[in-house]
This record gives sequence, C-alpha cells and structure tokens, in this order.
Amino acid sequence: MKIDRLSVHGFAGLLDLEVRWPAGRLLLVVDTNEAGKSSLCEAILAGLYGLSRSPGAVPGAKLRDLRRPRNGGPFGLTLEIESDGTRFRVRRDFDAGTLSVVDLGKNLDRTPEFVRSRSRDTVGEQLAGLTEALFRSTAYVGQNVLDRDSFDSLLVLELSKIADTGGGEGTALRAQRLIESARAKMPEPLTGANVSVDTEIMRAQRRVDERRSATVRRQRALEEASRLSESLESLENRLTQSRRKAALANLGVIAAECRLLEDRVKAIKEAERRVRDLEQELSRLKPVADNHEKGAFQQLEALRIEIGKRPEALEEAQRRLESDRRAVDQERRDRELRFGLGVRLSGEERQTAVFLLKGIAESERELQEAEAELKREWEDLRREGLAEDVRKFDALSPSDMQFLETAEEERIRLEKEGVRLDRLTSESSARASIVARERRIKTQSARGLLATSLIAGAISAVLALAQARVPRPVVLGAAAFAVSIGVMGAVFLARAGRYREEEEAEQARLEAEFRAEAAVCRKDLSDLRLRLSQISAKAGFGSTAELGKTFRKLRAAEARRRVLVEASARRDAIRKRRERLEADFEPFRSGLGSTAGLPSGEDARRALELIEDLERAQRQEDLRRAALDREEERLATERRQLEALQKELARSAVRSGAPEGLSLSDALLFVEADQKKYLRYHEILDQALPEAKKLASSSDHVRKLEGDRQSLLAELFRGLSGLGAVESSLPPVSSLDVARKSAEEARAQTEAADAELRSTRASLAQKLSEGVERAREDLESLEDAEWVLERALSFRQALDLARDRLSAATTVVHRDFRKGLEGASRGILERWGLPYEALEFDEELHVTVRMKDGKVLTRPEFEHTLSAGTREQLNLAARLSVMAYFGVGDKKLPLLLDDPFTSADDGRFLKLMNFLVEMVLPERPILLVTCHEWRHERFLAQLSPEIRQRVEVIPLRQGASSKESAAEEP
Amino acid sequence: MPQRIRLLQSSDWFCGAPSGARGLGLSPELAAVRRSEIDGVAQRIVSLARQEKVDALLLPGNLWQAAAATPDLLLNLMGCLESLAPTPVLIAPGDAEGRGQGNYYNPRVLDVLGLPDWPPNVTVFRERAWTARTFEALPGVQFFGRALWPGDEGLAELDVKDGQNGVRVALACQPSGGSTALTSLARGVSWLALGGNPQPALIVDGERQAGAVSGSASGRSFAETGPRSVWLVTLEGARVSEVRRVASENRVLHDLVIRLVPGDPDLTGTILTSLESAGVKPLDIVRVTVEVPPTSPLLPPVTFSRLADKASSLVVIPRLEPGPWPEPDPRNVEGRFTADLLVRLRQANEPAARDLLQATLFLGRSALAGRSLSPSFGALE
Repeated sequence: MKIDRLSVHGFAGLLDLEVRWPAGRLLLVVDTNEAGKSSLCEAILAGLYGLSRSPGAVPGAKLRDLRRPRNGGPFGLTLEIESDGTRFRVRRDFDAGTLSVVDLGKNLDRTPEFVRSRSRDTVGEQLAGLTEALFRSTAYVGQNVLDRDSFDSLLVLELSKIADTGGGEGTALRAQRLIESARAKMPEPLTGANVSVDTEIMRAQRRVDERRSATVRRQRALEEASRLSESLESLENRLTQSRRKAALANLGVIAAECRLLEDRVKAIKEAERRVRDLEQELSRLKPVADNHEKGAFQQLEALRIEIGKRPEALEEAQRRLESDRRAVDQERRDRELRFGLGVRLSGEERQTAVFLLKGIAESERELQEAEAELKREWEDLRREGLAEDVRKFDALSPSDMQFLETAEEERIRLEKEGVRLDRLTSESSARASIVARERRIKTQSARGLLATSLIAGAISAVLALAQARVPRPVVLGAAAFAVSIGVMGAVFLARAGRYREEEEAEQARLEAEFRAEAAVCRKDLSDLRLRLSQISAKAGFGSTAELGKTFRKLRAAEARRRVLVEASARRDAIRKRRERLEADFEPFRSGLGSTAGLPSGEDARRALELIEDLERAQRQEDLRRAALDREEERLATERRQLEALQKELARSAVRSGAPEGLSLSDALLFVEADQKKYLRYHEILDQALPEAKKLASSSDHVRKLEGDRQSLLAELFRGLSGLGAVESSLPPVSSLDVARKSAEEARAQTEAADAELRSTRASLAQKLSEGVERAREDLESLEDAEWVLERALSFRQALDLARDRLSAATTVVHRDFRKGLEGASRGILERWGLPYEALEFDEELHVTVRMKDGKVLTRPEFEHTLSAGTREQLNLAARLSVMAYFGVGDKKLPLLLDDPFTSADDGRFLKLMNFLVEMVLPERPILLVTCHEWRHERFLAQLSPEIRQRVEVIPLRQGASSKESAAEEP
Repeated sequence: MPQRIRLLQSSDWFCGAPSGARGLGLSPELAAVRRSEIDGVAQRIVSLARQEKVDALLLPGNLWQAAAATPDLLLNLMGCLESLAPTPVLIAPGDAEGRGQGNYYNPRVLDVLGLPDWPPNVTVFRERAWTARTFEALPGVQFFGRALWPGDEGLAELDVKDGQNGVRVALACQPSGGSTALTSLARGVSWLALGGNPQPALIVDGERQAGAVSGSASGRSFAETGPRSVWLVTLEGARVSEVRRVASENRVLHDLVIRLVPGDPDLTGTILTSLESAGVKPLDIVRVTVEVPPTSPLLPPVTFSRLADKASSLVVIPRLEPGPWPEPDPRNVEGRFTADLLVRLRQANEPAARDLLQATLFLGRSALAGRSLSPSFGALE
C-alpha cells in the first residue's frame, strides 16, 4: 500500500491541507508546536481506519469532539492510495459518518466491499493489511518511543501487545496476573469480605451442606408424616375392633354371672334336700350316742393312737439289734483271720512294734541315703582322679599317716636348718680368716718400719760419715728418724703378734660347733627321707616325690575326703543301729508274720499299715458294741412302756362296754362298731348338718336370685343387640373369673390401641410441623446458597481454564512470534548492510542481536556495548520485522515518525537521519514530523544533492499553499 | 341437562413455594412481595370466579407445595374456597401437594392438625380411580376426577359407557415426568381440565376444543414467562361454546434476547427498545440476554437509571452469540485463545460444559483487555 495523496478538509487543527507523497520521498514536516504535526499522522490513520476506538483510546464520542475542526468547518478528509496495482480514493465525512471508496482506475464505487453491517469499515485492514492497533504499534512511531533510556522496555511492551492482543492494550502477562489476583481475592464475594475463591467455595459449600441437611430433615419428617398418616386408618380400625371385643367381653361377664346365679339356685335346693336326709340319719343314731360317754371313746382312741405301730417297730428294732451283734462278731472273726497272731498283741506291745518298725523303715531309708551319698562322693573323687590315691592312703597305718602329715614341713625345716648351719660355719671361718689376715698385715707393716729404720740408720750413718758435705743437723735428723722408725716398728710388731687372738679363737670354736650341728641336721634329714621312701614303697607310689605330690593333692581335697569319711562313719553308725533294731524286733517277728532277719523298709511300712488297720477296726468294733448296748437298753424301756399302754387299753375297752375276759383285739373289735355310730352321729350334728343348713336358704331369697338373673339376661341381650351380635358371638368362658379376666384383657388392649393412636396422631402433628415450619425460607436460603456455590465453582473453573488456555496460547504464539521476527529481521538487517545477522528475542520478548559471527549478545552487552543509534536502528528493524511477520512487509506501508529523535544529540541525530534516508527510505515512504527546524536544516545541508532530493520539506503553516510546493505526481 | 354452564379452570398455584427470587434476580423486598403474590393466588382466582359468576371452579392439582405449605396457609386457602359457596369447587390432587395419605386432603391429617375438614362446597377427588360427582344445582352434569397416588406414571382413560347422555367434565393432574395422550384422554368428556404443567395449552380433538392444560398461575422462573392466566369455559349443553383465557395476575415475566452490535455506543437504548417492543410493564420482571460475538464478548456499560421505571426487576446478562463465529487471528494470544475455546465450544454438547467454556472465554478476554474480572461474567442488574 502506498499513500499518494492526502487532502484534509478539516481535522483537528488542520484545514484544507493538501499533501502529495511521491514515491521514494521522505516527507519532512517541520513546524512549530501546536501546528498540527501529530494531527497529520492521526489524520492518515483516521483516513485508513476511521476515528479510533482502539482500547485505551479516548471514548468515541469524545474523540470525535477532539478531532473536530476548531473553526467548525467540514470534518473529513480524502486519501488516495495505491494498493496491489489499484488506485483508490477514500473519502471520509466524519460529521455524516460516511465513507466512500472509489476505484480511480475503473471509476467504480467499491464502498460496499469495505463496509460491515453495524460495525467499523475495513478500509485500513484491507488496504494496509494490518489492524489499526497493529498499524499503530509498528508503522507509527510516536514521540519518545525511540528514546534511548526506554526504548527497550517500550519495545518489549509493544511487542507483547502485538503478540498477545494484536497491538491492543493488553498483554498475556497482565491477563495472567489479573486471573491470579481474582483467584486470590474473590471479586464480588458473597460469603464475606476479602476472601479467596477457594474460601468462598468452602464457605458456600458449608452453607449448602447446612441447608441441605435441614431440607433432608424436613423431607424425612414429611416422609415420616406420610407413613404415620397411612397407619392412622389401620390404627383407628384396630381401636374400633378392640372396643367391640371389650364390649363383648363385658357381656361375657354378664352371661357368666347369669350362669352363676342359676347354679346358686340349684345348689340351695340341693342343700335343703340334704338337710332333710341328715336329720333322718341323726334320729337313727341318737340311741347309740346316748348310751356312750364321749370321754371313754376318746380315751380309748387316744390310747390306740399312742400305741399306734410301736409294737411292730419294737419287734423290728429287736431284730435289727440282733443282726448287728452277729455282724460285729463275724467281723471280729474275720479280723483274726486277717491279722493272725498280731491281734493278740497287747496295746503296749503294738506300740513297741510300731516304734521298731518305724525305726527299721527310717534306718533303711537313712542307710540308703548314706550309701548313696558315699557313692556320690566316691564318684566325684573318681572323676577327679583321687579315688585310687585315697584308697592307697587309707591303707596306710595311722602312724604313717601322722608322719606324712608333718613330713613335708619337717623336711623343709631340716633342709633350711642345714643351710643355715652351713652358712654360720662359713661365717665363723671367714671371720677367723679376716682376723688372721689383719694380723699378718700389721706384722708386715711393723716389719716394714723396722726395715726402713734400718735403711734410715744406714743413711744416717753414711751421712754421718760424710760430715763435711752434710750438715750436722741433717745427719742428726736422719739418725733420729731412723731411730724413731725403728722404735715404732718394734712397737707395732709387738702389738701385731697379739692382735684379736681371742676373737679368732672364738670364731674357731663357733665354726666347730656349727659344723657339728649341721652334721646332726643332715642325719635327721636323711632319716626322714628314708622313712618317706619306705612309706612310698608300702603305699605303692613310685617315688617319695610322687608320694608327696599325691599327699599334697589329697590335702587340698581334704574337705572332700573328710565328707567321705563322715559319710562312711554315718553309714557304719546306721548299720550298727539296724543291728540293734534287729535284735529288738526278734520277739515280734512271729506275731507280725515276719521272716528271719531284719524286715525290709517296705515290709516294715506294710506291717505298720496292718497294725494301723487293726487298731482302727478294733476301735470301730468297740464303738459299735457300745451303740448296740445302748440300743438294747432303749428297746427294753420301750417294751416296758408298751406293755403298760396295752394294759391301759384293755381297761379302757372294758370301760367302753366290752365284756371282761376278752383278748385285747377282740375287745377292741367289740367296741369299734358302736364307736363308728357314735362318731357319725356327732359328725352330722356338729359339721354336716350346720353346713347343709347354711347352704339352704329361704324361698324369698331364691326368688330374688331368679329376679336378678332375669335382669342380667335382659342387659345381656340389650348389649348384644347394640353391638349387632348374637349370643354365639360371646367369647367362650368357663367361669366368671375367666370372663372377668378376658374382659380386663380386652379393656387393656383397647387402652393400648387408644394410646398408640393418640401417640401416632401426636407424632404426625409434630412431623408435619417439623416438615413445613420455615420451609419456604429454608428452601429459598438453600437456593441462594447453591447459587452462591455454583457461581464460585464456575468462576474458579473458568479462571483455571482461562489461565491454562491463555498460558498454552501464549507459549505457542510467542514461540512463533519470536521465530517469525527473527526470520524477518534477518532480511531487513542484510538489506540495510548492518553488521548483524538477526535480531533475537527471549521468551519475554526482550530484544538482543546475533552478530555475523554467530555470537549472540547478552542483554547487558546489548545495552552497554551498542551505541544508542545502533539500538534505535535495531528498534526500527524490530518494528518492520513485525510488519514483515504479519505479511505486510512488502506493501510499502508508510512509516510515520512523530518527532522521533528528540533526545538524541546532534551527531547522533544526523547519523540516524542519514540512516533513514539511505537505508529505510528505499524500502518504504517516510513521513517525519518535527518542530526542530534548525536541526533539520543542518541535516538537509549536509546531505549530498542526490540524497537531498529524496527529502520533501513541508511546512504545515503554509497550509493550502503547500499544494503548489508539493512534488509532481509520479 | 342445563342449557349453559360456565366453568373456571386453574391449577399449579404452588402456594407456599419458594419465590424463585435468586433465579429471577429479585431484590429481597421484591422477593417478599412475590411470595405474598404466590400465596394470594387463591384469593385472586376466587374473586375472578365470583366476578365471572361461574357454575363450578375446577382445580386440577398442585395447589400448594407440600414441602413448604403451613397449616395457616391451608386454612386461608380453605377459607377462600369456602367463601365461594354454594358454588362447587372440585379438586383433583396432584404431585405438589404430596401423593398418598400424608397430605392435607386427608381428613385425618386435618383432624390431627386441629384444622377443619374441607368446606362442604369443596369436593376433593381423593381416589386413585376416576370417581363421579354430581350436584343438585347442576342437573345432568357429571364431574369426574381422580388423585395422583404413589406409582402413577400416567392417567388412565375415563371409562365412559356408550350411549350415556349429559355433560361430563373431567379433571386431573398430570404426573410430573409422566406422559399421557391428552387427546384420547379427552374423548368422551365435554371438557378435560388438566394440571401439572406450567405452560398453558388448549387440548384440541379434531375441530373440537376438548380441554386445557391450566398452566401455572404464577411465574416462578424464566421458564414460566408470559402472562399467567386461567381458563374460562362455557358449555352449551355438552358442547364447548366459548373458551377464554383470563389473566390471573398482573405481573409478567419476560425473558428477552438481543444481539450486541460491536461499536454500538448505546446498549441501554437498545435494551429500552426491546422492552418496549416486548410490551414490558412497570410491574414486570425482565431478563435481557445480550448475545455477544466471541471476539468482542464484553458488555458495554448500561445506564440502569434510564431503565429503572420500565420494570420492577431487570437483569442483563451476556451470552455468546450463536455461531457461525469468525475465525480469530491465531498469530496473537488473544486470537489463539479465542480460537481454542471456540473449537471446544463447537465440540461441547453438555450445557454445563458450554457455560463453562463461555465463561472462560469471557474471563480470558476480559483479562487480556485488562478489565477487572467478575464471577457474574458481565451480568448487570
């Protein structure tokens, strides 16, 4: 797309402006502030896209007012555009909101192709190939965008906007933050202020649960009420039936009472007949009763009762007594057979025998224990290898053993004594020798003095002879010396001859004495060894050393040996005791059936048991015989009493009318017949007749009873009629009590049914009340709570899904975007001849550059090693790369620069402007608006004529006159 | 046989039921008013019956909500119906009152609660089988009715003997979730009054107007939009001579849908226009659903002060416009995100899944546009 011409009829501060834009020219619009330079850029955009509604822009209505010409003139503009070989004229009337697009080549109105129903037109998008937002982000470089300090961050932001929203205001990063923020703090919360979405859900869920529980409780109450109401009818039927049954039971009671009355009347009539019969019988018995005294029969009867069965019992007891005596005798005989002569032992003898037998048994046990112990000790000694040695020593005589006890110590003592005496002998000898040697020395010294004296005397003599040459004193001195020495020698010699003579003699005596004692000691030692040798041979030891060693070993085991000896002694003592027991037992042997010798322990214990059984049996026999004697005495007493009673009975029978002389049994038979009549008479008189008379009643009473019965019958039939029942409907009852009990049970059942019905009705009322009370409020509250929960859940799900999908979309788009920009930048940088291979973008779209040698500058390197001008060139390259990525790189879209290098110094400004003219302009037209006239004049002045002609300077203030200054249309 | 009788049919009052305030977006004050309006339907219907001088009032079920109707409510309802005496009132119990024995139709239940029995002029068809009832004041007219009992899934046809003369009017409540062939059910009767469905409908058997489904007497959700009404039926002999619908309440629920035009600067004006064209009155309750394009799903601001006097309750919610949707530019995140969700929306069949995807689209695009996010996804009240 290429803009050939712009006619502004009225747009903000621009009026009737006509701008031609020849191909390959940079339009440099130089004018003062507020002259409408930025409006010129906006007018081009408005011509392409209409008045802006892009996000972040001023709202439409207000923007329209802002862009409206300030003089109130026409509000519109016309663009002439060449796109894909077709020239269009786009005319917009912003007042009327109309658009006209004409194909100038064909003179054809093509407006409909660019208009959408109730929406913005698509002129800019179709002709430029970019949305307005994207156009603004790429081809339109606003003021300060290329500022050195901020262009990187601004570029990142703009690239992000392009990648995320196609050049809109939003970015994916900000969107993610908004989502996270909403997740952390629930917007428009309904469960409390400042809660997260999760908390909102949790609280809402709790409310829902609470209200659902209440709803379920109410629902259950209603279900229960329904169940109860269904049971009401059956309960009422049951109560009705129970009541009918109770009424019938009550009638059953009346029926039973009727039958009872009937029975009573019958009984009265029967009693009257019986009275008559009894009175007749009484008159028949009266004569007999009158002839007898009542007391005689009573005494006779009392005696008979007293005697009762006692005679038979007496006879039986007597038989049992005799039988028992025979049994006791038989048992005694049996015992004699069993125990033999032992039975005849007296008590004292049996005690002695028992004592001996216990002793025998005890001694046998002790003997066994002693022998066992002895055996154990021998076994232990044998295991230790001492048994044989002990036997050997046991074979020695006591004197030998006594000798051996001290032999070792004696031997040692003698040996030590011998040594000591030898030492003393030596010492005495040594001392004597020392004394003798000292004497010899002293003698030799004295002799030496004497010899010296002789020599000195000789010398003195010589000196004396040589008096002339030797002074006299010297001669005299020498002579005196020789004399004194000679005297001393003589004295010493004399003393040496007597030196310690007594001591030497004493030592010689002691030596002889010690030597003699040593000889005696050696003899004793020799004797001792000889005897040891003899004993060793006698005991069977190989040597005295072996004997000594064994003896020492046995002495170490002396305690064991002593135990052994004690055990042997104990065993021997027991044996001796048993020998005495055997002698003492001899007299009892035949009586206890023992064979010769001492009985074994087992036999002794058996004999003891026998004696014990025998004694027990004899004690029992004694007890039984005593009991039999007492029984015999009691039977004798009983017999005497019975005889007295029988005599009294016989006398009583006579008094009751029996003839004297009859046997007792005959007399009693005689009396018995009259006694029966007498008793019957009094039975009727005293008992049967009064009872019968009591039952019998008057005829009035009978009539009353009959009347009562008729009344009850009438009541019964009335009741049956009332219930619609007949007599057969009455419950079968056997008696009045049964009937009353049945009636009571039926009444209880009725009361139970009535209580259940009342209870059910009360429960039903309660359940219905529980089921519906405040139900509407609760249901609405539940609806509310569920709505809140659903709202929060949906919100959370939607947020999570949005975050997820946004993240996925961002990853893919940014990756593609980065690759696309890098590819596009490679071509641009190559064309521009810059020493870089391509732009590089990281994941956050920060830009850096790849050098021709393949090295990629780090961000710090990019920021600090590249000049600001280079980075601004790269910024432009990035923007143009975006257009290339979106497929509009070769559409010759114009580059609109609104005072782009305001913060650059003069040198950098010139470089950048040269770059634009030399490198960028050949690719696309450039519109640059600025207020820095002087700076641009310098720029133009330093251009070569060839380059200079590519720059068209347009002052806006000249307005319409610019039409004339514009270059010719190509 | 009477020459002419007039009948008034109404049902599905749901007295005591929740007002549906949350779903309708009602304020607490309006919700309270709405509850009293729902409970006052008996009074309105009886007044209407008295005003129209009807010969009988037919009430085929669902007069109250069993789970929430209190004894006091029932007492008021009985009083209303009794005040119509001696005009007979015929009731065929339905689902909502509770099937079986545990409902207020059972005299034993009334007795337990200390309530009086149903008034003498009220006939309750409590049996499961069709039962006939005649009135001295209406000679030659037989009323048939039946109640719904546990296990009923449909209505058995009325067994009418051939050759029987006279006027036969039948009333019953359709079981919820059940299905009944209404036309065949209406055969043999002069008028079939059915309840159990919130939407009113006329039952036509060939050329004959054979009966009607009452429809709910009060709107409790946006599924019950439009004027609520009763049926006023005139029978000439056994033939229906006139059938009229008479409004049963003044307040109407409206569920309107408009389409958002991108760039439209005045959504409020568009809503105003739609309210006017829908005939919304100040008492009415309205929901306006604004269908938005996926690439511009954000509702512009709405000036509610301009709409305040147009309806007693108004809620505006956005909804994604039905397809086909334009393909967004996949070279930017916004476009790719939108394209991704539109693909998923096309594949989603479940309404819940579609709602979630729609909400995700709204939220994601709102976030990209830097707008604050709302759990109501742009709904306005």
